Amino acid sequence: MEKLDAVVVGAGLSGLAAAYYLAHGGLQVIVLERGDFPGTKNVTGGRLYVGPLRRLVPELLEGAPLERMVTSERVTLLSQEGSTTLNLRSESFRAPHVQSWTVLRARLDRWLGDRVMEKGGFVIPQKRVDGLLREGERVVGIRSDGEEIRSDVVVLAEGALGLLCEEAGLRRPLLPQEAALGVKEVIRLPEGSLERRFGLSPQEGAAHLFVGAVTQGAFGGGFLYTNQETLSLGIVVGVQALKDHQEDLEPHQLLESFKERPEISPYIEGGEILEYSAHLVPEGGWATEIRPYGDGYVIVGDAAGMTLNVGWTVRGMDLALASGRLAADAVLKAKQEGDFSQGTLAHYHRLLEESFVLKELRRFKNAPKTLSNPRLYADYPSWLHETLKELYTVGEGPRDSVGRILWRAVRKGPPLGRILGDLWSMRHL
Amino acid sequence: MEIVVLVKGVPDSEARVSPTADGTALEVEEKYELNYFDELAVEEALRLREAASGGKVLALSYGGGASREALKKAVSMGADEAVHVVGPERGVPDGLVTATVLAACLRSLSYDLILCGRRASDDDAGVVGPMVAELLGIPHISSVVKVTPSQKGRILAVRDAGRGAKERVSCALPLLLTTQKGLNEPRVPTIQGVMKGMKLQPRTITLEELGLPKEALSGRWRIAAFREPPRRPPVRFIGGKDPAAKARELARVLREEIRILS
Repeated sequence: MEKLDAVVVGAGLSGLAAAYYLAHGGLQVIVLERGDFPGTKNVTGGRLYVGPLRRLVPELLEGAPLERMVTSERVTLLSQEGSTTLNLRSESFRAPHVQSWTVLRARLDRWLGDRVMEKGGFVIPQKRVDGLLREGERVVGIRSDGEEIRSDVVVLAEGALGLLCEEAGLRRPLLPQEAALGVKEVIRLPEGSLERRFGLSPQEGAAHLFVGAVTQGAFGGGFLYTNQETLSLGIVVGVQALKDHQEDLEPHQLLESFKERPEISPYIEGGEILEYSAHLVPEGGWATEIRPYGDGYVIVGDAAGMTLNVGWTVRGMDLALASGRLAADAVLKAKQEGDFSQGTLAHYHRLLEESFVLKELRRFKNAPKTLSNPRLYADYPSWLHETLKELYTVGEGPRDSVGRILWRAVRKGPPLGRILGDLWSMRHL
Repeated sequence: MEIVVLVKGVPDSEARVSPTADGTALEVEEKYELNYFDELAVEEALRLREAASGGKVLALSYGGGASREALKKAVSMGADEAVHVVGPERGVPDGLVTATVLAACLRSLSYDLILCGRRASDDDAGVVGPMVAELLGIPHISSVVKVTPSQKGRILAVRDAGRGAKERVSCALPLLLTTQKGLNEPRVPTIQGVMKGMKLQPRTITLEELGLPKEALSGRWRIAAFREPPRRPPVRFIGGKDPAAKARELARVLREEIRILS
């Protein structure tokens, strides 16, 4: 077979975005995907922040199967026996300037795959890439099930684990503290009950994060997103936290207990589980420092560590789509110049620097470290709950004044210096 | 040797299938794959072509979008040509109509051997292959698990006679064979093969071009009602900390509830 212009490894958002713009630019491109079709192996919480993408990948948003626009942001701090919830609603999150949409990857990725095919790219499922073809340092193609496919450039969009990149020495292995495990269920609710239970109109959606007892104090949390007819419900727990925790934390059991919580069970009552999935989540952010290009290759999306968890917002899909687009732009330029060496492909890195992708990733480079603080999950949620509970408790005698309650809380809780220190460390989030 | 393989697109094993409200037709999610038994037939045709280091394999299908998927797969595996007799998107009236259409098309093609699956995994009727042979006036051997070409234009075949019994049969070409599980292990198409399949523009033939009388295209039976198979229970976790206790519980469930262990 003749040499192809580009082989994309992995039909996730970054790979499909890269393939789309490469095919759009007239290159002959194939996408190899180990699943049965794009989206079968891909997992998100999840929601897609579209704000930064409108100008970068408009073609991939127009007509895309997005679920609901998120107009209600909720955070719940869970203690063993109760919870404290913040519910933020804003008219400014609504159309036409929707800031985020809930999505289901089985729908979205498949739709994107069809767009790539329409542009003349080939999305080939059920093909696992086993290794990269090298000539010296240069990547010159891929190996899959004994078959060798050569191409000018390989777009590595293999996802969170990045084993292919790691094996070829293009990036270092992920450390336990740089990864989390997510497990998720998609639950179908009886018609109309989603709107009623969440107080939403038909197009509106809610995004709800949970911190604290949901992970038994380990790094991570729970999430709940409303899709068109279904809920995405799941938990994420840090891999290091799973290793360190005194008790054997089993993610699926955490999820089961989460579902039994009175904060959750009324939402999912009478629901039918449609999907069950689990996936690794990169949590290292830009601190992972992966060089996303080299001779004959570019790395995009999760494989390049492009995720951004700053607590209130958890992002990855927007960065993936953007990085795919920018990688395609750099490859198209390399094609024009007939040079696919790292000198030319470094253009991808420059485009990332100029875009929101690297600006954001750099600004929040220390977020993973801040968020790995165990007190955020083990101490503060129940401490806050206990304190507020006192304010709301009416007994036989007069209750203490707010000042006394707070003073007692300060003495009972972690040392004041530590609390202030933790608050100080969170100023960058 | 010129080989024609009759192929059918069937709902993907993971496609959602449910009866319509009136219960006389099925709603099928638009996900199709090549019928497994036809996949065996394509594979055997390719092996015969490779063994003879020559010849041609043509895949033929009658239907709508599902047929295109089936032909794509056949070509991605290595079939040389594909012919699509364009039929309704779903609900070909009955097996005899399909056989009549395929036979009419086959009369305009040249072949030494016709291969097809013993049955389709969706309706499990198992009638089209033998009917085609009958309409063409050629012999057929059903449920073959081994095929060996011999000299002098004959085929030696081993057929599955049920319950593990085997029959060795010899028959002169032209001939139709229906394929049974165990005949071979179908190949996984290569990346290059898949690209070829995706680029495929099959030769299309319309029913008008075949010039069949109208009555040949109307079914003689209709479906009065479907009954759904029992639903699979959802995933279930066996909880607990002690591995031995979990294993005991699993064994108990398999034995007493699911009853696949005795």
